[in-house]
Amino acid sequence: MNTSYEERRRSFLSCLYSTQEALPGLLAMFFIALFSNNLAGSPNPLTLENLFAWLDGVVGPVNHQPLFQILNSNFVWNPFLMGLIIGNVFGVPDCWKRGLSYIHILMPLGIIMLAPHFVFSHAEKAGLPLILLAFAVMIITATLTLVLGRLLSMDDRHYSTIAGALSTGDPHVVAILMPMLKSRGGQVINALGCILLFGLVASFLLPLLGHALNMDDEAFAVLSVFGIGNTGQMFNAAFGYSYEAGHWAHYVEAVRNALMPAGFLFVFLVMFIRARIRPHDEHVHATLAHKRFPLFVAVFIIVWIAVQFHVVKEPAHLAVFELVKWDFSLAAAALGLSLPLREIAQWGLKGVVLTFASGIFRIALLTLCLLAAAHFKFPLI
Amino acid sequence: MNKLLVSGVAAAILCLLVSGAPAAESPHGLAPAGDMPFIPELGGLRHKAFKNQYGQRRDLSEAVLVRKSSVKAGKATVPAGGLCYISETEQDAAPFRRDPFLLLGEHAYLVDSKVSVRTVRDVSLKKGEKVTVDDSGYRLWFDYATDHYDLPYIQMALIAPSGHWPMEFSVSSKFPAIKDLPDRSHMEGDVEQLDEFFLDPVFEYGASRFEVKDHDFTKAHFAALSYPVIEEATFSLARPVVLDLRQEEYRLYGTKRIYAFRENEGFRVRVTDFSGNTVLAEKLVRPITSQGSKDAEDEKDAYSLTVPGEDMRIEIAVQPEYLRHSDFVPWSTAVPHDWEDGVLSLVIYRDLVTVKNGEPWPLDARYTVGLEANLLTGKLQRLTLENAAPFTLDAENDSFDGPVKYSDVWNRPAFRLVADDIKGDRALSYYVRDAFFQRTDNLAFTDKGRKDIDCFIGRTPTFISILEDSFLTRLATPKFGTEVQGSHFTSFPSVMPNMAFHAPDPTAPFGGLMRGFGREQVTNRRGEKLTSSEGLVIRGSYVDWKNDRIVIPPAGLFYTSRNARNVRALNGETFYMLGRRAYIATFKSTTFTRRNFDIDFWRVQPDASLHPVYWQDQPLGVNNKVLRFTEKHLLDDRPMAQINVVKYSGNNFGAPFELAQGLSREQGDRYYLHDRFAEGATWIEPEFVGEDYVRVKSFGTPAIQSVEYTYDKPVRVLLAPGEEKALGKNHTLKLIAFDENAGTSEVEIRRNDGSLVEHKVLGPLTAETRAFLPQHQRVVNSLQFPFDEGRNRVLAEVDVKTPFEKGKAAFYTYVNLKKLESDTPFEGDPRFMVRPDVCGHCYQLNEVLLDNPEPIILDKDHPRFDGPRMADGKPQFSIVIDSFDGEMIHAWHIETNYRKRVFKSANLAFQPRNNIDVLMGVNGTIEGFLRASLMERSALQEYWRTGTHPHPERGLDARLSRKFQ
Repeated sequence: MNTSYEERRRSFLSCLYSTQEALPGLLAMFFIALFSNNLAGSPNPLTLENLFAWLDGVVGPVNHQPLFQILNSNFVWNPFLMGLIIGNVFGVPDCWKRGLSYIHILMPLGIIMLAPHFVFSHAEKAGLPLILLAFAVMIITATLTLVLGRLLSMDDRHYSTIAGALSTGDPHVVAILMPMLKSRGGQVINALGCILLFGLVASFLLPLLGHALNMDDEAFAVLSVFGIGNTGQMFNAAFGYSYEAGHWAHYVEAVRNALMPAGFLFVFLVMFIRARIRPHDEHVHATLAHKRFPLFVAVFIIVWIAVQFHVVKEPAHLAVFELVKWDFSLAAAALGLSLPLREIAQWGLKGVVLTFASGIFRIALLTLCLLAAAHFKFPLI
Repeated sequence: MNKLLVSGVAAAILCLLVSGAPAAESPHGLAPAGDMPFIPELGGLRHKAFKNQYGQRRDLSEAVLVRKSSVKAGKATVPAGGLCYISETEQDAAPFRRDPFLLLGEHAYLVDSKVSVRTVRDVSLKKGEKVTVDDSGYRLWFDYATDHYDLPYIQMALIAPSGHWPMEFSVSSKFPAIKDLPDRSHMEGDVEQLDEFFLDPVFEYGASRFEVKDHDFTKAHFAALSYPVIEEATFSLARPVVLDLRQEEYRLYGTKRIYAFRENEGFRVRVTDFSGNTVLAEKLVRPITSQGSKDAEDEKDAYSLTVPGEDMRIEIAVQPEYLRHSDFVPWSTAVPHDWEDGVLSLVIYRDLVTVKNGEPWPLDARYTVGLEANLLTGKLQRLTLENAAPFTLDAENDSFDGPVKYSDVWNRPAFRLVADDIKGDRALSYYVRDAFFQRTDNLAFTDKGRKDIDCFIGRTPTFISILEDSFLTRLATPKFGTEVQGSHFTSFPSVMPNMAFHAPDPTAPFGGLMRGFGREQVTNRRGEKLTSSEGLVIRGSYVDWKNDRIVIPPAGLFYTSRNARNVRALNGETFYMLGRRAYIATFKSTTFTRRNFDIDFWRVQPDASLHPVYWQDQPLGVNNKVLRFTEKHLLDDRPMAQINVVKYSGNNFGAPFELAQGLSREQGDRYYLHDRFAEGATWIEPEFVGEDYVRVKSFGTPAIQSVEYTYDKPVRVLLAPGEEKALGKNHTLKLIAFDENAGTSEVEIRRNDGSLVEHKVLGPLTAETRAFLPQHQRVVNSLQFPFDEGRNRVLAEVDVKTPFEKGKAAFYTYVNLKKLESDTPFEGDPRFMVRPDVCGHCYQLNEVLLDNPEPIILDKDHPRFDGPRMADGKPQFSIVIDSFDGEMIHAWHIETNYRKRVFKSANLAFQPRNNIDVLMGVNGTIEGFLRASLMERSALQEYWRTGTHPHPERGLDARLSRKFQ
């Protein structure tokens, strides 16, 4: 019997699929998450995370860092990888799809829960000059990437995703920007691949540049953190340069972390305003699906501002972050399951060109700033 | 003549060539290179607590150690015994308790062992030496010698072949022994300094006994060293099979029948084949109970039946109902009580492996087994497997397999030592790979490589012992900057009301040497060189995030100044006083005594603050010391208590009191400990030693009331009778007369304005009185003449080294004396209280502490606190908070004023901290705190090196850290 939504509606929850409809997909996500990461409350030792940790031990450290962290193994990547393999090798039954669509709830929820992670006071120790430099480089990189992306005639959702992730230096930002920009799954993963590839190459080449320019440890740490960003990769570069640079990279990373929301919100706002100005432009896709300013982004901004006043203490933050891991593990599993490989490939290699062009420009800019600071004996930290 | 010389030289060279170079010293008992890499974790080397049958906790760990290796001409050489696998239990393992033990990564149970006591006679050695005392590689170490009344006493350690030693012991043949301790149970409260100084010539330590025959400051001769050795141990590599026992009936175990026939003394256990026709073994087996004496060599055979050739060992145990068919014990208890009710069960151990001390490892003859006993209990504590022959690693043969392990999957090498890049005299790359194929980081750590391939991988407590010579250098001069461990943030402020007698947070950063905190070697009048140093300790600080502030509680910040040993009067000895060299003039001490009181056993109370609650402490006066009952053992069911005197600083008095009653070697007991303790001027006589509390009949220890010192160097003056000399600006010292034979001098000191004049006869300085120097204050006082009060206080003392010279009497004069009086505000800065600490042996000044009587509050409006002011009015150090967000401290540092310059420490919150506990400078007090957390600090150094975050449970073993506090 076909009944309309209005007839079925009992509360706002009535918009959701019934448990029976959603359960298979939710269970698929759940089990992939469970076997991907060591999640709070789950004692399962047979996880991809542990497998990678063992392989790290077998391969041995690279520049004193675990190889799979350099390759970006983390709580988003692991379930995504597992979902991608399962989805592409075995296919995804139709009965899973309704459950998998909960990604659209999990992603915004995860983003909101991430807000306590970005506390500006954690960056204060590095001093205002470095914070301003990092902020400027981030905005310039984002702007340049957006302009270059447009010049390369790329899909705006694709290049804006790359802009957000590259400028903040964190591949996770592709997942954060996905519901904001309304990017396609293939674009998101293509962008992620571009960022990781750039980070990997840069993390091995940057120490050569540093040695060639005879940079001091602190300066090189700054170059690694803001020139590469991605945690495992920038530590690979910094520790590849020296132990001291590695330690400073740990110190400076707090700045990048604190500024991250400003980076992806900047990209989102630029694209959102652009879509409002040119709603009928056939080249404008990013954020166009949002009829109004997305509620979850507004909530995220409110929570983000609130946490700056220290309303979320560290133990609470750590507990919330465990929930974030659960949330993104489920969402990344769903993303991996619902993403055919061809959809990633269809966005081509322009993303790689864009990422490397912007990334190299950023490194050059940073290097110049750091050399100038050294020349004028300006203390950056 | 020339021919004779040439032929003589040739003969000597020939002899050398034939005999070879002097034999390389065995690595047994020796430490690896002081700067060797330490990797706390490698998957195949386990570190975990298990429980035995009675729920007693057993902390097990494994390690791989390489020592005395060398790299030369592209080859790395490891001598025989240089590569050592260690499996260790922090407690001990004995038969009949189902004690767990690790065998190359496999969980096993010790089911049997053969113990004997080895006695070595007539061992001589010199100070600093570690001499081998037996074939298996035990060494005796003469670490240190000091004196009392100018007579020597020595500190020694018996080092096991692995390098482990449980404690240093003090012995002397020059003083009254413990048995000579008179009855002092009438004493209570403060009494004057006592004359006797006790030190026993025999150190009794449970199953061990070390007797010194004669010694001086530089050499010692021991009449006998007795210590337990394990000759053989049998392990079961599988969980035991537990079957209910039915008398006069059999139980099937695989293809065997096990009968149990009841007899008065136990059960006659008979093992037959499946049909019951062929008896494989039969014996009267007594049920095991928890009494410790069951595993005595002459008793233990009655409690088990081993079936020859059948890999079966049968015991009869009482199992509570719910433990049937399981060895899972869900709780921990310190006391091995029997189950009060349960059923008799047959416990069958299988997969038995027997190893013998000094024999090859059963699966791999390249390795020799070492079994080391706990020196106190005589039970198994350590199993080592060492390479029997030396080996070399080079480009063609770059790895050496560890011993083959037993495995359920396949027996394979438990680890492999690989050196895959050796160039010239440097190893550029070497590592250890475990049985799961995981490897460590490159142990060379830097591109420069290493001249040896020494290392320590794993977390066995032996690590602490073998680093005794080098740990301070390792921690104080870190290669990778000042390590800071991020705090664990709690959902409640870790409030501490008062930090007296507490140690700092074991994760507190250690800043090491810093300009502004002095450390130098000084020489006294007798030419003795002593290291004098000062430092700063902050302890118990916390973030009160409910009020956005950092709090240092009362006694939470203290300045410490200390010498390598106590600071003695009459010797012109100096110590640091807020960055300046101060000369001690005189002191005032008493003996604090108590009688008839109880000390309860202290239990670790877990909380998140890393600061245990010590509500069982027994105070010894006000702000002096406390008594703490920290450890206990049952030695054949006789309780043994370990009681510590804890100083105001939170450090322990060097010698713990180990007490047990009713033990007697003459009556055949396996163990012996003194039933009372006396060392130096400290003694304790218990009335009753129980498992949980000790009733003390009489106790006494020195306490110091005040110290007088001056910044002006004492001046030696020679006076003829009637002659006088200026004593500072305001006083004059005059010699009235002296009697060289009697050793007396009559002197007069007067104010120059004539308002005050005093006479005193100094001395007598005779052989009789010299016998109490330099420590006894009655004699010291008789040789000193303090005069006047307040700022103009002066003092003249007899030059005890050369009291009379060329018909004149010799004196040292002190001017501008200052006083440090216990529990009073420091006169240079009344914000701080003076807490001098005394030597527990000899009544002398041991340490000067200045601490805060009131809480110190730091917040955004008050981010700076100045420490005690020096003589020039500037603070010696300041605490500066640079970045604090109300909950997390992101940056803070210490500033010092030194020679008109300001020096800053590194950021002591490089990783976010929730307290500002810190150790700055290097002296004995700080060394004590560092030693207590050595394993964890060393592990942190490694985490810090690679920038990894320690595992929350492994990174800081909070239990371990507390245990040593």
